[in-house]
Amino acid sequence: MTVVPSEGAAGSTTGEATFLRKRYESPSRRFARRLLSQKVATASGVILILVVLSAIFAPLLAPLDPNKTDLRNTLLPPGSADFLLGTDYLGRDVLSRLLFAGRVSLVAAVQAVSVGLILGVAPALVAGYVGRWWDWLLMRFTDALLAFPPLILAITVIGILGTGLTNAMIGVGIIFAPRFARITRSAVLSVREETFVEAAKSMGLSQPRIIWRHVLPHLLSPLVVTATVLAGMAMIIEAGLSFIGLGVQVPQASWGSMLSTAYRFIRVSPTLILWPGLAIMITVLSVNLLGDGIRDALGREVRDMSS
Amino acid sequence: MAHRGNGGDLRAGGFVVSLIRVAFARLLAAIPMMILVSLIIFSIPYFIPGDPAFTIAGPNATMDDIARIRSDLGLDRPIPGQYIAWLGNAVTLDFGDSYLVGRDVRTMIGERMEVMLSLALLSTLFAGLIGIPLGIIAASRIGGVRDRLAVGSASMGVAIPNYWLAAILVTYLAVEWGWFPAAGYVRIGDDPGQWLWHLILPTIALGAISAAEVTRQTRGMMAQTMNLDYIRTARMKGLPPRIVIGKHALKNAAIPVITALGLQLTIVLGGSVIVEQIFGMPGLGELAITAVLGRDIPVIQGIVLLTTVVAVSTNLLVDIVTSHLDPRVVIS
Repeated sequence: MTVVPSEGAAGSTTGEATFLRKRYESPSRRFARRLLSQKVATASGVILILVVLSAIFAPLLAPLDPNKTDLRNTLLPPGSADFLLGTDYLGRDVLSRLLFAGRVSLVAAVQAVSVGLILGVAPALVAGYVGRWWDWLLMRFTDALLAFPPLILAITVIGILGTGLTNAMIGVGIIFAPRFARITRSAVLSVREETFVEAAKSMGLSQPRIIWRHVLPHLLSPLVVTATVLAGMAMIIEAGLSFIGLGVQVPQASWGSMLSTAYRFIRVSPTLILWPGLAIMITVLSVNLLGDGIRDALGREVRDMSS
Repeated sequence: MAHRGNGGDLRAGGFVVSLIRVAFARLLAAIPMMILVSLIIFSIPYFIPGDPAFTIAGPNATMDDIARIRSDLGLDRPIPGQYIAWLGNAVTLDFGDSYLVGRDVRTMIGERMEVMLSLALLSTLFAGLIGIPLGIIAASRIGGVRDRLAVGSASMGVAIPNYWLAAILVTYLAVEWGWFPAAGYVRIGDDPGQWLWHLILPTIALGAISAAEVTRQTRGMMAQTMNLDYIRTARMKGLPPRIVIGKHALKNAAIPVITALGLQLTIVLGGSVIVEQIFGMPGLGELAITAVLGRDIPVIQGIVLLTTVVAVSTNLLVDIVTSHLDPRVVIS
């Protein structure tokens, strides 16, 4: 909070007005100021924006076609002419594949988090608000889903739906759903008792309208924080599933599938395994640190709820 | 005695009685959840498009073959009856035969369970042994150099994928420098020394993220505790920091940290599927992947059920122990 200097003892009407104008800061502005005042979070945000941009503009940035094989130039070391980071066992350009794989990882994270949000938030909103046996049932269901070892649950879902990136991410979304549901429910339970909800009720607003207009906005902050943390987790799980062949399918590149082919040729080309791993680490690290920054910038209530 | 609850009663008899009461209450509370878990696992084949009988029978089967398989599997009975029958078998760990190789799922999993359990237990142990001291050191002076180092490495640790770490460890420590075995597994019954020796790299790879997570948790809890009044009192009494941290603060921070360790075991159980692959260990991971690729439903069901039971019982145990340790928890 900035301390506002008083406009003098007179307290004239104009003085009062400037005082008010200076002191008022919209919530989004305050959030931005708090977030930008954290160096680590700001730096992470910048790195993340760069990663996202490089993924979006991968077709423009990539020096070569990521899937074009060149069997005369396989497993070249980094720094080779035309291939900045070298080539893989089929002579494909590693840098180009890395850029295109970034798209896969980011899209995968968005898919998983969206599935988690859809499956987790909506039922929890209703259950938390309606209460009674709905609530009981939902909580038992959340407990049950949380009881499974997370990766085993995702693998099971892939077993049902079949391999492939989208199916894998539906599986990861199902891991995330109970986590979103818990946070939503606890937020709803605390908001439900607030006077403004009571006021809305006494004004005769319909239940869906109260939930949409008055309860949901209060959930945004804890959900954003959780979504960021889980997005980082989704990228790691996606790469892991692609690594063991249950995620992305050939010839599409993902950071995980690049790791697994690199691992097969690790004796010939030991640097190959570094790049995709570094890409995952840097992206996940900046997502996590940005998430921490967002949580700190949002204020105490959110910190309590999402920790 | 027993009716006085758990906290105030320090006599041995009361201790046991209240421990049993806590355990019983927790077990009872877990029953609806376990029923749901079993229902979810039971219904896996019903989510799969197509008829399992067709899958088992293969492409060249006649309608008679399929009808026979259907009645063998009990698929022609009503669903509630099928569930009861399935549950009855599952309790005795009987999941039927694998669709792919025709062997008994129980023996298939039994042969491989040891790898996963060893890896999961050692990784959790590793996470605790590294994470708790690191968290305490970090919290002993928040904002100091050691704190920033610990927090920094914990943030890095959470972001490093375990399979990547595993691959790098194998490449350098095992293949290039030959310090550790690069692959394989030795049963603990055959040679405990070799067992541990083969598990060191996989444990580090799998446990690193958990260690980082435990560091964060411990640091957070200790930092909170260090701000409490009774710690200030202990300091004002002139007690050395070692005693204040080790005796007073740690007791308070222990419960959430133990809970966090229990949760890490659940995560590590799943993570071992990938790490086992890198170290070429004959564990459940390989079995799970083949089963998923071949839609071998009994194997999938067996693996999911067993790993979930391990996870649930661990967390139940943690829950019972911590709620027994914490005098504030009242069992209703």
